[in-house]
Amino acid sequence: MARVIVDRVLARDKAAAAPAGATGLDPSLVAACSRVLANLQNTMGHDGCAALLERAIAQTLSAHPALKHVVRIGSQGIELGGAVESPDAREITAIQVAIEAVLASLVEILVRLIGEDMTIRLIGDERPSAPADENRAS
Amino acid sequence: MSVSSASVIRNITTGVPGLDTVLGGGLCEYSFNVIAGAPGAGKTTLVQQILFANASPERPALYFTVLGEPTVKMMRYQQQYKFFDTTMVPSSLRFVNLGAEAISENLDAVLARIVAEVKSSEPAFVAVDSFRTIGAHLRGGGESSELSDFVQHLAQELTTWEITSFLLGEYSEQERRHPVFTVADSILWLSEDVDRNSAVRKMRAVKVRGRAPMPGLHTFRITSAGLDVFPRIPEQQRARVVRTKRRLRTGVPGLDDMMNGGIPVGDVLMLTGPAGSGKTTFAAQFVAQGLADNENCVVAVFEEFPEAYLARVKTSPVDFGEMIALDRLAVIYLRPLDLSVDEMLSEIFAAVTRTGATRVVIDSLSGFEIALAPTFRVDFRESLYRLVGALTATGVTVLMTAEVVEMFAEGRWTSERVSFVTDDIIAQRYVEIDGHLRKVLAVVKMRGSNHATDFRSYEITATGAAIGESLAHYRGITTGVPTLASSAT
Repeated sequence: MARVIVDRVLARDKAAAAPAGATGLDPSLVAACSRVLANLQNTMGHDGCAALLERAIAQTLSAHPALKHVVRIGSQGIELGGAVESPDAREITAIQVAIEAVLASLVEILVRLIGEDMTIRLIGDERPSAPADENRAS
Repeated sequence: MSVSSASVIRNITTGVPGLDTVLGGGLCEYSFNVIAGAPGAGKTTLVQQILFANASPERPALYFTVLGEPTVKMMRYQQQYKFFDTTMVPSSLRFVNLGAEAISENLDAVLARIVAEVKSSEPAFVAVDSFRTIGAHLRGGGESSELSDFVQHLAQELTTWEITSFLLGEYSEQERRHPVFTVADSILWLSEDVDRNSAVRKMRAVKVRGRAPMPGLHTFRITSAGLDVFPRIPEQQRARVVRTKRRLRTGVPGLDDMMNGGIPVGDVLMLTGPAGSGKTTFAAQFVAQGLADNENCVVAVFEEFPEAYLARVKTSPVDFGEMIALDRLAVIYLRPLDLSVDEMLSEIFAAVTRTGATRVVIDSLSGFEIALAPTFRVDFRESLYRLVGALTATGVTVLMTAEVVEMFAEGRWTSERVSFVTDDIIAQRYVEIDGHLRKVLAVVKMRGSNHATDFRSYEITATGAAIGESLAHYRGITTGVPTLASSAT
């Protein structure tokens, strides 16, 4: 479920594709990350968002060692460092997959905490409004 | 020519059951409201309930969280309430965290962020939760001039932007000098009374500019639907129904004759007796007779579940279950041990209004007293006085049962603590006659009406209660061991 949400978030930014930046990362991925994290930061504050991100990275790191090349992920973008200052295509792909996994992990945590619907609304993933639950009081 | 040019303050209904009555009609539009109380008092739930009831994409709400409970946790729990409609987030209600600005301890930064968000969203409603954490670092705390300036500026900005705002804070009554209370247009204080094992939530409208709030402490309950407020209803605030001379049939053969034709409409009748004397049977017959006479009824039971009550009265010629299905009869079950009299009144009024009932049975007062929170039991007479006053003001006729503990010689006929609220009293008791236990009753009191003064025996059979012979030829019935009068031997 988290993966589906992340794919939808990424697809939204693909439409406005821009040339790759200095990091060589897919600009739609960078834009999606920035947008999601800015939205979360706005709602939950810097500390709340940082705590979520930290846990998402911790959950993802062992399966995606390429994450160690990522110096920073935040609302301002993604910064790479160390040996991947001039990364090759294979490394870039591995980093991108890792970042997508972090996003998926972050969404998964949020879904567990506040539910899918609320998560989608907080990260700014637009989709047609579902009718309100009939059981809810007006 | 004089033309009034006074501005009209539009009313905002809160969407919280009972709260508008407490506030004197609702909230004033563009008012600056403070919701104060200890942690866990229900401040966040109350304000979110109001916002979800009022916000829309055209009139959105901004909910600023500051320091304290993490936003994600607040959302997790608040979502459990039925009023929390996730489809309204963020188009109608947007959550914004001010943690970074608050941590910076720079009130100008906090104000600038709030104003920036207000300019960008143009909300109709703003909430700051918790306002208490803003400026908490300042020397002098709540009385510092810096905080006072901040509050003034914030109120100025929010009013200028035509915003109805809510500031939530963990304040105590001792902190009434905090500048926010001076600036506030209304102050709602939430509290919790803990007495022995019970806890009763209460609220007080300390100040409501532009409205005449209902004075006193009002109880409220938090359920999955949110807050439900039970306004404290003084009897004199309800329009009284004009009494008629009509009488209602009791449904107990022979009893109407003792009561000069039945119970006067609008009266409060108390039926007292020891355990097993047939009080519930009499009350059920009163209900059955009402239903047969095309009157609708409400029965409030405290000592047993509605299913058990209905099983007990199934021998009635009227099918109570069918009457419930037709909404001609409501059986209300009120058993919690932390009820307030206002909560009970609210339940009964709702049932009376829904069914159009003219007969109300409270079975029993003893159960009602136990169901009340200890804090209300202390004032049981006052609680009962308000209950009876409010009920009879609507014109309904009330039959209450009350258990007296003593069965024989030392017995009291009525409960002296509560009989003052009644118009009519019928007392049942056991006596021993010729070695047999007999049930007898007497009409002790009928306000403004003649009634029989002799004791009568009565029987409870499979078909119900029926009045039997007069015991006028016995002496010493009140002792529990009567003897035949010498003239009868």
